[in-house]
Amino acid sequence: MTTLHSHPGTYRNVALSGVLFTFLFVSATTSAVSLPPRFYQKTLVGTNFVPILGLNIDGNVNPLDPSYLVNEDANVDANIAMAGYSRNFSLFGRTSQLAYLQPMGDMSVRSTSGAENPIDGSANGFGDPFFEFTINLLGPEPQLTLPDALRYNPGFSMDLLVDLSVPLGEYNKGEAINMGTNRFWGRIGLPMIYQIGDVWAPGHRTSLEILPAVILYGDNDDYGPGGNFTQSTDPGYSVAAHLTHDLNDDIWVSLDYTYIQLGDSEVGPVKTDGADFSSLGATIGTQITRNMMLTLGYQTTLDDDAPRDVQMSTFSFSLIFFWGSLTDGLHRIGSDGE
Amino acid sequence: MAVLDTKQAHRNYKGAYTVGYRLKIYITVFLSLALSSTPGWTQDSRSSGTQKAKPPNIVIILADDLGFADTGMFGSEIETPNIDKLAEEGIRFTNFYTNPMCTPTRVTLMSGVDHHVAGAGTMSILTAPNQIGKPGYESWLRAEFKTLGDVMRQAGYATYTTGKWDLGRTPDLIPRARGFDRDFVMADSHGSHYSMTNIYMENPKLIFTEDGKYLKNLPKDYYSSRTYTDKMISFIEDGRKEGKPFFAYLAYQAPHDPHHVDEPWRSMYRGKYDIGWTAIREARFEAQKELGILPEGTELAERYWYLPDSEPLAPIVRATLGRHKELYAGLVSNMDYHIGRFLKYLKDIGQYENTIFVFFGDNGPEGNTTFESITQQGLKNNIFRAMHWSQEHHINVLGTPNSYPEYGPGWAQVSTTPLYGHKSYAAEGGIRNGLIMKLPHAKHAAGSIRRDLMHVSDIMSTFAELTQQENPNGNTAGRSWLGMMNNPDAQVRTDQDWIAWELMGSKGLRRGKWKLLNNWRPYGTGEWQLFDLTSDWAEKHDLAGQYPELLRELVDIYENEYLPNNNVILGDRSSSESLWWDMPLRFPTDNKYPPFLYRQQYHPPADMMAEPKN
Repeated sequence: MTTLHSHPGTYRNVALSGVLFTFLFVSATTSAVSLPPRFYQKTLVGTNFVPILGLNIDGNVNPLDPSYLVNEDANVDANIAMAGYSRNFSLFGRTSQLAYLQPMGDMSVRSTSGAENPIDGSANGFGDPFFEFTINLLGPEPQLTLPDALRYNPGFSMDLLVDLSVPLGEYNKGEAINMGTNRFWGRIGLPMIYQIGDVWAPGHRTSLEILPAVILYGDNDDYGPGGNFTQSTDPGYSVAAHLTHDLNDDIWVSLDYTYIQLGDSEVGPVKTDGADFSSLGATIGTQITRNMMLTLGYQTTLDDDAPRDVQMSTFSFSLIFFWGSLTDGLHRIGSDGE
Repeated sequence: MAVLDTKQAHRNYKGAYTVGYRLKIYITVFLSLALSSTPGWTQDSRSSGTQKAKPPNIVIILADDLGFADTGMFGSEIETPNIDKLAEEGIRFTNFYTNPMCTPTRVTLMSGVDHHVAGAGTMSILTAPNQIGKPGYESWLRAEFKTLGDVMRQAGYATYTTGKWDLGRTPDLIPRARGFDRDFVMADSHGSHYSMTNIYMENPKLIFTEDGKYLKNLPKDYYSSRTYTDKMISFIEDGRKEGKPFFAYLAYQAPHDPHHVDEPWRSMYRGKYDIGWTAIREARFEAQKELGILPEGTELAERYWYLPDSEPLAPIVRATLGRHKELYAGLVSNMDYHIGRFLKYLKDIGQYENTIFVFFGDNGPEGNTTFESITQQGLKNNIFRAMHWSQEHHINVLGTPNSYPEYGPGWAQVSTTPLYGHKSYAAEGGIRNGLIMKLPHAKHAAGSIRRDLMHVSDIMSTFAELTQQENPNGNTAGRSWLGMMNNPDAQVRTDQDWIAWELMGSKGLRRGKWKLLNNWRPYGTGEWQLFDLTSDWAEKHDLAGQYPELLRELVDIYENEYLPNNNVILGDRSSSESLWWDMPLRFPTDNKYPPFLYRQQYHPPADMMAEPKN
C-alpha cells in the first residue's frame, strides 16, 4: 500500500541521466576542435568514465594536427583509437571535469603531387596525450546527491574550457605523416547549452549546444622533409554547434556542424593564409547496458572540391564505460530497479 | 450524507421526486417576484429612494480533491494569495462538511438533498451489485431534481457554469438541461487536464459540452483551469449587456489527479518537499495553531499505520515522493492564479464588491492511488495506460500531459492536517473542508473564523432563501446560512441538529460536538467509534466505551432515521474486501463487477456534436 515502491527505476534514472551526457568526449580530440554533442551536460559528481573511440578518417589532412595543413593531391587514411579516463568533481562550488585522452593507431598517406610515382608514407603508435579541464560558470549547481542528478535541467549553462595537447606522441623528423605533432596546442572556449522545451528527461531532451573557442598553437621546430623547418601557426577560432534530440527514451540523435577559421601559418619561408572550412554530420547514441553507452557518427567537410580545400570524412563509434560508488552500490544491493 | 433535525418530519425519499413537480407552480410565481423584490440578503449598500439595490452576484468556486489544509489561510505552505485574499476579506468556516467523494458532493451541492436520494448513492465506478439499477444509484443527478442553476435562473439570474460537471453525460443531464444559460464543462469525473484523454481502454475519451453541444475537440491551447476561467469570464462579459445578476459555478478540475501543470508552476516547488511528509504536516499543524484555525487542545492525527515516517527515508526516495507533492502544490497555486484572474476581471467590471463568493473543496484529498487500481498490470486499462499515460519514468516528466501523477496517502495526510482519513471515508479528513465566504458589505469582521456546523446541502437552501424561493427538491435538511450571514451572532445549526454520511460502507454522523464513525477495515475498525470533536478533530480518542448510552442513541439515529429515510442501500460488495488480509483469499463472482473495469464510452447524439467556439 505504501508508495515507497512505486518508483523502482529511480536509481536507474539517475544512472541513465549520468551516461547520456558524458558520451563522446573522446571525439573532442578526434578532430581537435569539434564539439561532441552532449559532452558538456553534467552528471553526478564523482562519476568516472572510460571512453573508447574508434575512428576511420579519410581526407587530405592529418586529423591529429589541428593546423589542418592540406596535403594537396594526397589522400590520408587513418584508423585511430582513443582511450582515456575522466572524472567530474566540484571545484569552488561549480561542476568541473578533468579528462585525459590518449590517441593511438595508424595513418597512411599517398601523394601524387609533383611526382611520377605516388609517394607513400605511414605512421603508427601513440599520438599526443590530450588533457581537458572544464568548469561551469553559469548554470546548474554541482550534482552532489542523487536528487540533484535526477532533477538536472541544463536550462542555460556556460562553462570555461581549457584544452592542452602535450607533444609526447611519436614524431619522426622528415616523415610525411606522424602520430604526434611535436608542438603544444590547446584552446580556450565557452561551451554553452540551451535547453529547448521545459522537460529534461529521457525521451524528452532537446538542446542546442554551441562552443566558440580560440585555438592556440606552439611551434614545431622539426618540421618538413628534412626536419629543419619551423612550423608556426597563428591563433584560429572555431564555432561548433549541435542540435540534439531524443527520439525516444533510449535513442538520441544530433545534427552536428563545425566551422573553423584557421590562423595564418608559416613553414620556413612559406607563409600561408589561414583557410576556413565547415563540416556537417550526425550522431546517434544509445545506452546498451546499465553503465555503457554506444554512439555512431559521421562527419564530412562541406564545399571541399578545390585542391586547397580541407577534405575530411570521419566515421566514428564510441563506447563509454562509467561508474560511481553510489550508483554501483545501489545496483549491487538491488536498489536501482534493474 | 444528510442534514437532519431530529424533530424534522422525514419524508420517504420517493416523495422528493414529486416535490420538484409541485414546486414548478411556486417557481413560476417567484420568477416574477424575485427580480422585483428586495433580496433576502440585507446589504448595507444603501439604495436611494428611487433605486433598489441590485441583487448580489453569486460565485461558487469549487476545487476538486483539495484538502482542508491546502490553502494558505488554513495553514498551508502552498502559495494561494488570491484565495487567501478572499479569506482575509471574508470568513473562514472550520466546521464545514462535504460528502466523502466528488459525485455525491456535487449532487448534493446542486440539489440540496442527500446524494443517495438524488442519484449518487455511490460512485459509478464502485457501485455494488445490489445497488446497480436501483433509483438513487445512477451515479448522476437524476433529471427530476432541480439544480442551483434552475433556482437561480428562476430568480432572474444569468446562470453560468464551467469546469467539472460530473452530474451526468446524456442530453437530459448536461448543464444546458439543468438550468444553466451558458456552459463549458467536462461531464466526466476526471482525466487529463490537457486533452480529452480518459483512463479506460473502453472509455478512452472524456465528454465535454459547450452551450449544450458535445464537443468534437477541445479549444486550442486547452488547459483545464485556464480554459474554465477564460470561458467563465467570457460568459459574464457576454451577458453584461443584459444587466442581470449572475450565478457563476466555477468548478475547477484542479487539483484532482493527474497532477498536470504547466511551467512555471511545475517547477515552482522544486525540492521544497524533500523534507518529507512528516515535517511538512507538523509545520502545517503549527501554522494552523498560529492562524487560530484549531481549537485549544487539538492534536495531530496519527500517521497511517501503513506509511513510514518520512524522516528515515533515503534522500532520493524523499525527492521522488516529494516531486508528487510539488506537482500537487503547483496545481493548487496555478488554480489560485486563475482564480486571481477571475477576481481581477470582476473588479475591473465593478462587480467584485457586489458578489457573494463561496470557495471550498468537494471532499478530502485523494489518498487512494485510484489510478493505479484502475490501470493495474494485466488489465486492458494497463495497455491503455501504456499507450497514453506512461510518461512517469523520470520525475522531470511528471506533470506533463502523458503522465499520471497522484501523490498517495502520505501527502494526502498532509493535505488533511490535522485530520485523519482522506477522500472516500467518513473520517474527518474525507469530509471536512475549509470553506471561505466573502459577502458584500458583510457584518462579519474581515478575516474572521467561525465554527458553525455546516454542510454542502445548505447551499441550495441558502440561495433559495436569498432569492425568496422554496427549496425546490424537498426532503432536504440543508439549513440556510442567510441568518448567520446577516447576523454574526446567529448559528447555522443547534446542538441537536445532525449530519450523517454513508459512502461505500463508510459511515459517520455528527451531532453537536459528537462524531460517530464506523469505517471499514483495514482503514477503520469496523466498529462504531465516538469522538468529542470539541478538540479531538483528529479522532484519536474513542469514547464509545465511556459513553455507551450516547453511542446507542446516535447509532439509533443513524440506523433508524438516517439510513431508511435517505434511500441508503449498503453495498454487498466493497472496495475494501481485497484489502483485509484476515479474509479468505476468495471472492464471490458477480458479472460486471467492479464496474470500473467495464466502463464504456458514451457516444453523444450526432446532431449535438460541435466544434469548440474558441
